[in-house]
Amino acid sequence: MVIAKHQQYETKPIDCWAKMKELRRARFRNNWEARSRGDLVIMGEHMGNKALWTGFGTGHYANMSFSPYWTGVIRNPDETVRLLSYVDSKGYGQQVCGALKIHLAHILMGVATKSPSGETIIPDFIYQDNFCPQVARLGHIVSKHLGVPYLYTESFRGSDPEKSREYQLEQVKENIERAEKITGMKYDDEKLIEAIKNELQTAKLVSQICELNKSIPAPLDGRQLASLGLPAVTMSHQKESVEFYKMLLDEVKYRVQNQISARGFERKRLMMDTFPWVAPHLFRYPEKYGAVVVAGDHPFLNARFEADENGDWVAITGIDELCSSIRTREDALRATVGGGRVGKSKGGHGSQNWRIEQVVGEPIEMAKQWHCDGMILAGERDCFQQMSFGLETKLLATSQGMPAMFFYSVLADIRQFDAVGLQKRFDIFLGSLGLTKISADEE
Amino acid sequence: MTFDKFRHVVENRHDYAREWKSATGGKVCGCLCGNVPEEIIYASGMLPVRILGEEKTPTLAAAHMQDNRCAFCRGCLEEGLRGRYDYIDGLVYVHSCIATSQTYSSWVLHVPLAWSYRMDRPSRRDTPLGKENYRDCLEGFRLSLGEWLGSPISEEALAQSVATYRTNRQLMRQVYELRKMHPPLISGSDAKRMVLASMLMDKEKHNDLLQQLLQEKHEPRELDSSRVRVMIIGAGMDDVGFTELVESVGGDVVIDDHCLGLRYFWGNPVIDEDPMAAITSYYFDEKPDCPSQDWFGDRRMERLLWLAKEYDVETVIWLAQAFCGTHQWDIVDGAALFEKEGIPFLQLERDVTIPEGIFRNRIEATLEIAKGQLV
Repeated sequence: MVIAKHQQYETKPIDCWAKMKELRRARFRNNWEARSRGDLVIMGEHMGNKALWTGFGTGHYANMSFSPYWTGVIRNPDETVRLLSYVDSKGYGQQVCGALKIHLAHILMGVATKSPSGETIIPDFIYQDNFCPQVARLGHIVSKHLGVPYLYTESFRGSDPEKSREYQLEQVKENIERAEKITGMKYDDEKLIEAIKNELQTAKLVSQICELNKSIPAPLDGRQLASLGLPAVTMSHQKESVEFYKMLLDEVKYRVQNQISARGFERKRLMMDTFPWVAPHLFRYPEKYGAVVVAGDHPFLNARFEADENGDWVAITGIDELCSSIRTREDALRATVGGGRVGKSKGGHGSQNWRIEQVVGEPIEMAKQWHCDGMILAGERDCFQQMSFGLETKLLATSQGMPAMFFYSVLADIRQFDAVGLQKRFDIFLGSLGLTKISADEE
Repeated sequence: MTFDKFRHVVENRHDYAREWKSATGGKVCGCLCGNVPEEIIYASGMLPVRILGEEKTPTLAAAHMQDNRCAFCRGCLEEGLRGRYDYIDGLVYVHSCIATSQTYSSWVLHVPLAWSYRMDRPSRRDTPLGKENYRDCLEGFRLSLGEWLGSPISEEALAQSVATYRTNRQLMRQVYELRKMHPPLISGSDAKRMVLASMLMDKEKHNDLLQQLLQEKHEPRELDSSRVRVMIIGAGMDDVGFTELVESVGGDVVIDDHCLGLRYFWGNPVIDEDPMAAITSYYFDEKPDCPSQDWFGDRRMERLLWLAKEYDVETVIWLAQAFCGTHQWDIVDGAALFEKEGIPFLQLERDVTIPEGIFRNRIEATLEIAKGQLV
C-alpha cells in the first residue's frame, strides 16, 4: 500500500456508515407508509420533543419536517434556485431564512405532501417547538395552507430554569390532550416512556462518541459526525437509534485504541461552528491543508456534556439512573422537556433565549477541550440563531490566544453564497495557522 | 408651540437626560425595546430612556455585531460604544428579537454599567400559562430593580406610575385622533416627535405638554385633494426623516404602525387595583406586538386593517428593515390584506440609511397612482 507523504496515521472507512444510510432510508419510507398503517402523521421542523408523539398508534409516527425532500434538493443547485425564486416571487422578503424558504416552496407547490408514488398525504397537524420566530411563522403558514391544526411549544428559557421547565412541561401536556382530540386516538404512556428512554440513551451514546473525538488523532471528522448524527436528529426516540449508536460507539472506541484516524492526517485540529448547506464540500476544505475539523455545533448537534471535578467536559452522566426512575408520563416528560435535556450546549447557536456567557464562552471552551488549534465561526445571514454572537466569540477567542475566523454568508441560498470568497478566507486563516496546502508531490 | 418642545427634546435627548439627573439627583435607565415595562422603572424613581440608534455609520459596532443585523440595533450599539449614553446607570432588555439581544449583550460586555437586566417574556397568548409566566418575569424584574436600588418598589409608587403611563397613552391617543381629520390637524412628523419625546422625557412632564397640546388651537389647513393619506408600517423607525420625505412629496402620514410610533403606546387602558396585574395585562394583552412576539401575525393584520379604515388610509407604505426576518415574513399577508381592500401598497426596504432619491421616485409614483393619476 502506498502511503501518501502527508499521511500521519492509519485511516479506514467507517463500518457503520452503511447502517446509517439504511436508517435514513427506512425513516423516509416510514414517513410515507405511516398513514396507511393508521399511524400519526405530523409535519414540523424535527428538532424537539420527538418522543412525544410515539404515544399514538404503533409509535412509529411520520414526521415529515416541512419538506421531506429538503436534503435532496439542497444538493441540486438548479433546483434550489428554482425553489427560492418561487418563494421570492410570492413576495416574501429577501432575508427570510433560506432553509425555510425551501421548505415553504415545497409546501406551496404541493410537493411536500406528495409521496414518491404520487399519493397526497396531509398531516394530522403541524407540530413545532418554536425556538425561532421564523420557524414559528412557517408553521403557521403551513397550517393555514394545509388547513390543519397547529400545535406548538414556546421554547422558553427564562432566568428561572425551574419555572421555565414547568412552563414548557405544561405546554407539552396540553399539546398531548389537544392531539388526542384532533386524532381521536388514545395516548399510550408506555410508548412515551420507552421513547424517552431511547432518546436519553441516544443522547448519552452520541455524547460519548463525540467525547472520544478529543483523542489525537480524532477517530471521526466533523463532516462524518454531522452525517452520523442524523439518526439522532430524526429518530433518537427509536430503539434502532440506540442500537446504531451502541454499534458506532464500539467502532469509535476501536478506532481510538488502534489510532485509526478520520482522514489519515491531522496537521491541525479545528472547530467549525456552522454547516455550509449549499456547499458541504467546504466542510472538508481545511483538509487541503492537512487540517481536520474535529468539533463544532453541527458535528456535536445532539451531544450533551457536563464538566467533571477537573473542569473537563465529559459526556453526560446519570442517564441510566434517570431512565430507571421514569415510570409515568410525568416522569418521562420531566426528563426531557426544557432543561431536562441535561448538560452543556453544543456551542455556537445564539438562540434568543440563551445567555451571552453561554453562547460566547462555551464554543471557546469546547475548542480548548477538544484540543483545537483554531476556530471557524460562521453566521448565516438570514438566520437569527446561527452564530449570532460570532464576532464576540471571535474577539474573546483571539484574546485568549485561540485563533479564530468569522464569516457570514447565505448558507442556504446558492445565489448569494460566495464560495470562492469563503475559500480565500479559509486560505488566509489556515495560512495564519502555519499551514500550507498539501502539494501534488505529497498526494 | 408644543411640537417645538418635543422636537427640542428629541434632538437634544442626551442633554435632557443629563439635566434631569442633575436636577433630580435620580438615576437613568436605558431601555432596549418598547416592551420594557417602564412603569416599574418609573415607580422606582428612575427615568426610563429609550435607546435610539442615531448613528448611521456603525463602525465600532461592526467589530461586535455582524452587518446582517438590523441597522437600528447596530446603531443603538454604536451609540453605546461611542459613549453617548454614558449617563445611564442601568440598561434593561426585554426578550424580543435576537438583534436586540445582541445589542444588549455586547453593550453589557463592553460598556461599563452599574446595573443591567435581561427580562424574559413568553409569547403564547392562547394559553393562560403564558400570561402567568409573564407576571412571574415582571415580579422578578421588580425585585431585582428594588434590590439594586436598595429599596423595594412600593405598591403605591407602582399604582401612581401605572396611572401616569395610562394617562400618557390616553393623551397620545387623543392627539392621534386629530390625524383622522381631513386634512389631518397634525403632521406625521410632528406626531412621531411627540411619541419619541415620550420615550425620552419624564412622563409627567410629557403629560403636561400633551394637555397643553390638546388645548392649543390647531388651525386646519385648506384641504388639498392632491395629497394622499398614508399609513407607514415598519420596525424600529427612529428616523423622522422618512416621514418627512413622504410628506414632502404629497403624502399626509395619518397613522403608523412601528416600534417607535403607535406600537409604543397603543392598546386599551387597563384598570386594575393591583398595579402589577395592570402592567401584566397591558403589556401582554393590549400592547401591539411586533412580529417577533406576534408569531402568527393574525392579531397584527386585524389591527393594521382596522387602523387603515379608521384613519381613512389611501396608501400603505411598508418600510421593511433589512435583515428583520420576522417583518419580512409578514409582507405577503400585509400586501394581500391591503390589495383586497383596494388600497395601494408600496414595499420598500431600508438598511442603514434611507436612499432618498430612489425612495422619493417610488413614493411619488405610488401616491400618483393612489390619486388615480397615471405617471
